[in-house]
Parts: sequence; C-alpha cells; structure tokens
Amino acid sequence: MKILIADDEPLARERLKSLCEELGRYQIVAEAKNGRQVLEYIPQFQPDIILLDIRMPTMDGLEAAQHIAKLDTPPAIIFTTAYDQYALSAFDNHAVGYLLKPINIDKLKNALQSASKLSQPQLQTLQQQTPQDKQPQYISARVKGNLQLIPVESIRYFKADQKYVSVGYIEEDTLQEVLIEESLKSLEQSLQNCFSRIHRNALIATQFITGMEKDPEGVQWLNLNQIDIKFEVSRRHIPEIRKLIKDKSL
Amino acid sequence: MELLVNFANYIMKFSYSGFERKQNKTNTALFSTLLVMIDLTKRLKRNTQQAVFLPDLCTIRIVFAVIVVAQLFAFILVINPNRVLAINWLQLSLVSLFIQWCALTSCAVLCVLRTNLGRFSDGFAGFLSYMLILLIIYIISELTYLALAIPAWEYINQTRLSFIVHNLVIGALISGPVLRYFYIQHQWQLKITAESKARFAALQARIHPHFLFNSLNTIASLTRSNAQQAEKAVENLSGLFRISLQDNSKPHTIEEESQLCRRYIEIESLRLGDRLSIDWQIDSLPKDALIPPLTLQPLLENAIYHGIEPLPEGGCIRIKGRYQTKNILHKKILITISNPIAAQQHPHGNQMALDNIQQRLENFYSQSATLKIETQDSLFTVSIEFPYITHYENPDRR
Repeated sequence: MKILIADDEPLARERLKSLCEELGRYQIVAEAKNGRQVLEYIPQFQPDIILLDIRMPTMDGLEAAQHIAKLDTPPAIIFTTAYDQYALSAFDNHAVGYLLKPINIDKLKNALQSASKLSQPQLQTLQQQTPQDKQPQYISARVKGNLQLIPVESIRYFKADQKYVSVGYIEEDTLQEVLIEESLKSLEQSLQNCFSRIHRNALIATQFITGMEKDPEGVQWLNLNQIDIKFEVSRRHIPEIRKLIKDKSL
Repeated sequence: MELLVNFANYIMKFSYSGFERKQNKTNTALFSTLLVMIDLTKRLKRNTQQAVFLPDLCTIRIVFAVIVVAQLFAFILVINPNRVLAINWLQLSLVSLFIQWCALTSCAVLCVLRTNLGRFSDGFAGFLSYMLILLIIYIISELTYLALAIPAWEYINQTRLSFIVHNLVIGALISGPVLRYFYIQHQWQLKITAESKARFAALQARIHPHFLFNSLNTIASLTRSNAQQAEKAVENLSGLFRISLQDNSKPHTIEEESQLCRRYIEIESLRLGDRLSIDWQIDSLPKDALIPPLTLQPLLENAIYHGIEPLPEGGCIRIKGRYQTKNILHKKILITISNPIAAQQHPHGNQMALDNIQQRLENFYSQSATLKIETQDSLFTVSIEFPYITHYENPDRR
C-alpha cells in the first residue's frame, strides 16, 4: 500500500512516517507540506491512501479533499488533526476516517486497514459543519484525466454555456479558458466575497471590473481589466454593479 | 407516584368522614378533572432552555413540593388553637381540597404561561403571576361557593362576599412568599449553571487544546529521534502550564514574562521549524517592571496561530519594547508585537483573546493601560501601553 503524508510540520510528518514503517507493509511514497502539494503529487506517485492534516497553509486539508474527490480513482483519505472541534463533530456523525494527534499506532493500523474513499455526501456534510471563514483558494478543472488547479486570484470570469461552465483566467499574461464541473450557483455561493453575478450566465471577479458602457440599443456591457471580451449585464443586476463601480472609484 | 399516593389519601379521608354519596361523586369528578389537567400541562411542558424568571413548575419535584406545602398550610388552617389534637376531619378534607385545587391550578397555569411571561421583565412577570394566582383563587372560590353553599349542609357559614374576600386575603398572603421562593431558587440555579459554564470556558482558554495536542504530538515524535530535545520540550511545556494553571492575580516582572514567552517560542519552533523566526527587541525595558502573567504569551500565540501558521514560508514575529520617561510621575512602557498575515486572511478569530488581555490590563493598571490593534498591508500589529510600576498592592486586600 502506497501512502502519502501531508502535514505542514516536519516533526509530525516524521512521526507518521516512523509509525507507518513500524506497521510494515505500508510504503511512504511522498510527503507534502500543504494541500496544493498533495494534488501535485497524486498523479506523480499514485498513492492509495493519504494521511491528510486539516490545518495547513496555502490549501487546507478540507479543500484538498474536495478537489481529490473529483478524480476518477481518488485515493482514500484519512484526516489527521490535533484539535478541531467543528470537523470532529462531522466525523463523529459519519464515521469518516480520522485520527487525533498524537496518533496511536493501533488506531493508525485500524484506520489504514479500513481506509475507504470519502463519499460526496460525507464530504459535503464535513464542509457544512466546518465554519467557512475561508473561501477556496483554488478552482479545480479536469484536463485529460488530471486535475488542474486554477488560483482564484487569477480568475476573471465564469461563464455558463448550456451545460458547461467555463472559467477564464490569466496565466502568463494570456487569457485561458477551461471547462469545469461546478455550477455557477455553487460558485457564486462559495466565492461571494470577490465575485458578483452580472447575468444569468456570468460571474465576474469584482476587483477587475473597470467600467460599464451602454451600446446604442441600450444594453449595458461590462469591461474587465486586461481582457478584451465585454460582458452583458442583465437589467436586474445593473443597480448593484453600478454601486460596485461607484464604491471602487471612491 | 407521590401525586397518586396523595390523591389516594384524600379519597380515603373522604370516605372516613362519611360524605353523602352524591357529594362523594362530585368530589371524585373534581379529582379526575384535576388529574387530566395535570397530565395535559405536562404534555404542554416546553423544553426551552430560556432564562425565565420561574423554574419549570411542571416537573414532578416541584408539583410535589407544591402539594406538600399546600397540605401543610391546610393543616395549619384547620388547627383549633384551643384544642390542638382535635382535628375536624371533614373540615380538613374540604380545606385541603380547596387549597390543592388553587395551588395545582395556579401551578399548571403558570407552567403553561412560563415562556410567555419570560418575555417581560422579572418584576412585571412576577406581578402578572401574582395577579393570575389571585384570579384563580377568586374563580375557584366562586365555584366552590356555588357548589357547597347549601345552608342545610352547613359547610360554609359565611356570606358569599366574606367567603371570597377571606380566601383572597389568605391566598395573597401565602402565594407572595411562595412565588418569591421559587424565583430566588431559580435565579440561584441559573447563576450556578452560568458560573460553571464560565469556569469551563476559562479553563479551556488556559489550556489551549490546539497548542497542547500539537505540542504533545511534537514531543511524541521527538522521543524517537531526539530524546534530549523531547526532554527540553516537556520541561518547557510544564513550565508554561504551571503558570497558566496557577492563580494569576499576582503580577510578575517583565523579565519573568519574557522567559515564559521564550519557553513558549521554543516549543513552537520545534513544531514549525524554520518557518518561525523571532526578533526580540526588549532590552531597553526595565526588567523589574510588573505585568500581569500571561499578557505577552497569548499575543505571541495569536501571532503564530493566525499569522505564521497559514503562511507556507512562515515569517518573523517582531517584539519591540520602548520605555518612555517624560517625568518621574509619568513612566510608560510600550510593547508592540507584529506579525505578517496571509493576503486573503481576515483579521478575526483572535478578538476574544485580545479583549481578555485588554480587560486584564485595565483591571491591573486601573484604566491607565491601552491595547491597540493595527492592520497595515500584510502586517498585523498589537501594541500595549502601561505604566511602569514595581510594587503592586492587590486592590482586593485593601
């Protein structure tokens, strides 16, 4: 069995590593310092089980688990945490694999033996029970079977086109577009601090809005920093967008 | 159970006193309605945890207490001051029946209306309850008079008005103190619950579960790889906890506080490795200045938990101390602690710890201390300012 250890503390990783080695038959294939690295290492090392710390910088364990769950063959996840009362209450209700630090070797053995994939509903309850003071740092898209992570701060817009949602982001100064699986509605909810809805089919990064202009037919169009595309603003959303622009110019 | 026993007693007494058949029937009818009513009110009982002014009067314990008190009172009323042992059983049963009716009905009504009454101020709610009880006594007196005032039976030898006034006066005199008793008892219980909750929160704040379990994890790891470091970490941790668990009303010197902070930082550096660096600039502070224990340490803890830990590369915490002397009477110490914060992070979550420290500083230096928070770009700074004192007299002992 191949194991990936994710923890931001070197000593915590070391301890997990030596415990796993003691149990035999488990092989540590990689050690990650944060959720971002976990996602980078998964295609490279193909772990069967991830021992995932919840509190980590850049991308925390819960967000990483959400991205992982989108993979075709996601590895099993066992959360490790020192003390996290909210997450723990969710675990208790749903018996998802979790271990409390300092980790006891027998419990680790049991958890590794019964490790199974997190189901989507389990993950959702976990997310709901953990207070969302943080919004996701990345949006994940599947490109040729692999996960591609798009930093939220590079995203300019989300656009819904029939069944799919495409995300437009800037990479190396050029605009890229990829399809993602989330719905505009759920994106709007989780990113409400920095994105606004301007139309039934579009969500725009508020900080890049440069202005709004009216065409001869009376339709309002929105301009964005760095990109040439104009976005139609539906009549219903005009007042709040106008207010946003006004607040920004002050 | 007690309820049933009590009722059984009644029924026995009634049969002893040789009631007429018809009379007996009406009485049992009365009892059964009473039973039904109690049952109903119990079902209506709400499990609200709201702080209302009266205890839940529908609990068995309280209903029993009400019955016992009412019965004792009935005994007192029928005792003939001249011949104590000669009890008129008929009179006793009638008086008991009347009083129990009043007491239990009031109990049931107040139980149902408890949460509604809780919306008013305690005083007004108390007044309303008192009036309700008097109204109930009035209604029951009227009903009793209607049922029993048949001259031939000679149960009531009074006119209607004097009967009702008599009952109301007695009811007013008794129900006041009883209500007051329930009120005080309930307040006392609420206070105890609140106190124990506060004590638990305080204990948890002192122990910092997140820090404790992470440190223990570090130590567990070190025992395998570096026993000496593990030993040192245990010493530091116990030193830290000894201070957090002792009575913190006595101040210690800045020197001691900075020792404590260094111990804390040593533990955290083991855990965070080179992600944590500390820049101490406090040499200019007078070492004998007094400070309440655990003033700076929680600030460092905040800086690490909210500042350093979310940053993948970590950062540096700067602790600067300044000593200002304008004149002999005006010597001030200024300490600032600053740490980097992640760009997207909202500076919140540590407010409680900051409030707590501010309050302790204000208490200790009698209002002449300040705590200021500043967020600039990606730097979070807390500054505390307090007078330089080397002697401290506990204000409680004065």
